[in-house]
Amino acid sequence: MRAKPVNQDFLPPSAFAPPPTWSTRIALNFGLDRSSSRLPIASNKTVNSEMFSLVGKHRKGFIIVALLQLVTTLAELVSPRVFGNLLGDLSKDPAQARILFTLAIAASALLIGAFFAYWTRVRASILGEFVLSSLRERFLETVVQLPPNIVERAGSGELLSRTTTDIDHITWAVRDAIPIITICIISIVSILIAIGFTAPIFIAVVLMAMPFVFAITRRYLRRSPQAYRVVASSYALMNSTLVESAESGRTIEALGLGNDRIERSDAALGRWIQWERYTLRLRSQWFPFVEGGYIIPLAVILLVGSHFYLLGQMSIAQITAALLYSEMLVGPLEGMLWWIDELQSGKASLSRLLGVHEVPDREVRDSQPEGSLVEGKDVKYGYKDGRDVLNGLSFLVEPGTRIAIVGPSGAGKSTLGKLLAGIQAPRSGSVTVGGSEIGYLPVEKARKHVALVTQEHHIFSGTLRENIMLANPQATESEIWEALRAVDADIWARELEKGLEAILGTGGMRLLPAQAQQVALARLVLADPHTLILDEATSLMDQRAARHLESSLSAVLANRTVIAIAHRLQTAHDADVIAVMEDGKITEWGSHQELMEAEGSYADLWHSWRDEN
Amino acid sequence: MSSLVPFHRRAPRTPIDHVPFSDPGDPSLSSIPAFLWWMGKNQWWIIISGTFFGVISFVSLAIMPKFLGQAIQAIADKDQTALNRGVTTILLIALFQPMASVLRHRRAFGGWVVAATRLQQIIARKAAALGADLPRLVSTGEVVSVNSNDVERVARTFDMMPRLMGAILSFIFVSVMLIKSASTIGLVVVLGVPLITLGIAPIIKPLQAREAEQRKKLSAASDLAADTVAGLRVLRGIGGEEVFIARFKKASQEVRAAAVRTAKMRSFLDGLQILLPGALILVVIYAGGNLVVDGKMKVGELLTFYGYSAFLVLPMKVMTESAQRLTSSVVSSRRIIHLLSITSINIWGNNQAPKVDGKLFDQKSGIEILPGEFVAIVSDNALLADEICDRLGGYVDAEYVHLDGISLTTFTRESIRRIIYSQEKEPAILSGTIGSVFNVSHSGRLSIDDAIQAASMQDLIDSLDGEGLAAEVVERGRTLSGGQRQRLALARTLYVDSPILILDDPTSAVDAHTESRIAQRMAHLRQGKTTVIFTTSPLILDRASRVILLTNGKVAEQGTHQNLSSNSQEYRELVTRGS
Repeated sequence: MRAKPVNQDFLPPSAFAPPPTWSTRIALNFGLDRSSSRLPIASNKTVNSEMFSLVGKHRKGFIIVALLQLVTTLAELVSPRVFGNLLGDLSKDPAQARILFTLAIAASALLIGAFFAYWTRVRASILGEFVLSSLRERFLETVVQLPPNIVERAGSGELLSRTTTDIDHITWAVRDAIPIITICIISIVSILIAIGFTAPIFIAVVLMAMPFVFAITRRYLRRSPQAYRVVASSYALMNSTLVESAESGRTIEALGLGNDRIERSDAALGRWIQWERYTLRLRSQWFPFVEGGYIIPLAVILLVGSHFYLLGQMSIAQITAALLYSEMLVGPLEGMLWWIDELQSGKASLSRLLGVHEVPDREVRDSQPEGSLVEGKDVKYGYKDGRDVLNGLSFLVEPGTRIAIVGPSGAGKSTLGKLLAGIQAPRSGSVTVGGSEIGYLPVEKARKHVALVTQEHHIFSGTLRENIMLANPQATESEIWEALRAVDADIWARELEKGLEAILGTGGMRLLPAQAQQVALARLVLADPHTLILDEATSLMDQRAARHLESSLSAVLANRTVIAIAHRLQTAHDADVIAVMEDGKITEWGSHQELMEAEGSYADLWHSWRDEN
Repeated sequence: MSSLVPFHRRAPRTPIDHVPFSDPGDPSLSSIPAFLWWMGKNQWWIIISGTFFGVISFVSLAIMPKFLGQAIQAIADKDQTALNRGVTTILLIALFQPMASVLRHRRAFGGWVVAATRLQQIIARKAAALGADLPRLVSTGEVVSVNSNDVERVARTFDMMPRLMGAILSFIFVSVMLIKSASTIGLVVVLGVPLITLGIAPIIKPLQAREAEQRKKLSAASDLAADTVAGLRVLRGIGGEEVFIARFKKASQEVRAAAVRTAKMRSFLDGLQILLPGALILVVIYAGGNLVVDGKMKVGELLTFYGYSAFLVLPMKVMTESAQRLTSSVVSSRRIIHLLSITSINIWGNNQAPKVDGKLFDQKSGIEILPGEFVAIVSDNALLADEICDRLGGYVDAEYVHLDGISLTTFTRESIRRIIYSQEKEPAILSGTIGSVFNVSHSGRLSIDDAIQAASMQDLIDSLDGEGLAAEVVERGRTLSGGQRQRLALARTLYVDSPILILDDPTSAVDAHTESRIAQRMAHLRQGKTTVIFTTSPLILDRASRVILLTNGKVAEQGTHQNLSSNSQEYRELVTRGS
């Protein structure tokens, strides 16, 4: 008899998944959410329809799995039946019982059953893996095509957690849940039919407990997914508290914050435990009833069976077969419930993955830029309603000009840089490059004309060559070296043991921040747009290196428009035009000489900086 | 949503009401068994009571076939009393078995939560104790992986205990029952089941190897995806998306291939797990059937035999799984013990450092700082400057640094931290509100406002939509710009108002306007207190009472900014701006 006790001492995998959901509604309600989600989350309806369409798309695979499982179950149904018959015969007249015949049938059924079970599972996992891989590939494809302003706004954290944890999370659900649920449903239906063939009355007996089991399961399923989601995110909170402690050890020790960190992590643990207590309660209210619901029909089958046996309307064979069948139901029923539960928590992640597909496309107004004149007309822009960071800027940058933008922090310099690069479009007014509004050009087109390098840099895991060539896959060896030379990186690049083939990034060689900035600039040189925006692009280098780099870069970038945002006045001094920004406005505009003569704030600054007062 | 709120009424008692602990205790780290024993000893009650219910729930399941057989026999014998007895017993089991089972689950789960909580608390305390040494000695990834994966594996040993005990006892029970009623068949079954388990064993190892391979491929693919997303701004700005998509697709397909290979083997194992026990049951039926024909066994007993042999597969499965879990928990215990055994870099003494500042002297570089001085240090090598900043603060090689002629390491670490504050190049901003950033021990001489003014941070506070100090900063201050982070950290440092302050390039990301303001206000705020700043900014150098020029990490020249500018070519090159 396959009396299988609950194996739910295994926790749902969601309990161990790192940070999925800062953004689910429930997390929000419980203050777990700090940064409200800046990326859409697909609705339940979308998720359901997506799952159906997944099944639809792989119809053939599902049908094959279903058919194979049908054969498996049919084979499994044989042996209780023949065993029941044998018991029946033995109880009537032991001498007449055909033991070897029964064994022969049961053995062949066993062989067929085991083989088809093997085959079904192989097909089911091939199918599941296929669905899963296409899901994750499609997700990443969408992610890399997201409009740049969305990427800027969402921050990498949110996207990263969707890319890593949510994908991990659905691995279980999508790969296993859908095929296994299919298998379970087919088994359940076949077993019920087999019971019906044994004696129709027993169907009623077996189904007797069903409405109850289903009601209590539904109740559980309505509450559990959210609970597991919060459990997962509070578990994640514990981990991120520790990450912070580990990374900031120096600051924590210097400030004597050790006890504060311990309190924080205990508090995070407490929160997690509080939620685990809730999930434990949910399970405690579910398992016993479901399990009891499996055993009770056995007793009823015996009572009903004995009644009809005494009336001479039923045989021992039928009763035995019904008992064994009813026990066979436990496995698939439990499996189905378990995997439906699993699917629920997988759905939370799926909704976050699918949400990415719902990001509205960048508003595109395609046109063909002519020339490379950069012009801003009454540009206004703010991140929040009613608070403009840029208060009506107008400017004109002739092709080939080198402009430096200086000004105090918070003056809107970096925002202007984003607008110039077309990452954002102004709230009102216009930023045009060659007459086209850069903020509305298709991304691929816009970056042929304007490129932005900020102080934020990223070295991809891969070779140095790959890291530089991504800007221009057709670049030749000599072009790469030329780009490296232009950013003063050729010296250390030559010293690398493997030169351009040196592996960088995670797991490879770690570049210094200054070197990473050089790589970012080398990419820019290879991309070769006619207008370059450099937002503190050399801020991580030391003074001397930055100065040297800027001069060698400017040789390569002759005839290109360069707009450099800088806090080093040296950069400003070398520029053709200096724009001083204060409070979202351009307050001074002119060459170094002109501004010095105007004796405005730039001149003051220069004097103090040069130490001339 | 209110129906989802689980805390609106008092939750019933659970086995995990007493965690987290106020004191998680001090684990024994001498050996893996000692460590696991210490863990178990601390939660013995939950283990014992869980085992109790585990045994009840398993044995009451194991005994089911006996009553089913009796009932069938009663029907065959048309014995109504016996049938009623059988049915009643089954109904009783239906009532009590699930209860025992859920009580077992609650304790098993509780054992897991309690163990995981204790270990995480211990690790958090270890991290706090190691402080600045932690990131130097262990990578963050390592700490996190120990804290989640290894803690989970060790904790799961305790989750497994009740089921393991239940499995062992039910196995013994069924074996006895089988051998007692029909010794030959009984022996066949009792020996057959473990033999089957052993027979399957050779596949487990290669299967695990394939699974490991699959996991490796999967983590490579997800690293690739994470890398792509982390650098998405770069990609969107400069191109190369197709290359990355192609790379990811390739990795993803490798995962798929590896997963299918694993699945094939796993399915084979599944098939065997149906085939082999099935074959054993056939043997039982054959032998039992013949016994019935010979009149040595009743029909109902045969059904019981069938049930018993089918049941035995379950405890065997639990035992195999437990063995696997124990193995992985041993590996994980080793990693946890390793993390917990790490000791700090410096060996500190027991003396209390003086409460007021004194002369600071670094043997390695020759830097000497007198009490109350405002000294600026210009280094020709930025990396060496970082190292000296760490050393003067007593974070590495603290024995070379002397305070009033006494090596720093003769004092306690805490007392040194109280008197010397060394701010590294990129100080961390911990998540919380802006206000909570200032939730640190401080001299009390300055208000938060003073510090904010001095770090020229008022504009940042004003830009936070009126939330001011209550505005949230996300982890690592990612929502702030580089300059804003730097000023916030500087404000915090000034607020601490340490007797000796060492700053490593604190204004590198700040624009010239602001830097000039900061230089002036900071000099004013630190008047009469020892301040050392590594910088190349003339705005700050000009305010220093003395400037030290380091070449190759050694003092080369000293003087005021003015006279170094006019006398030293090297110095001019390093700090003078403009052509």
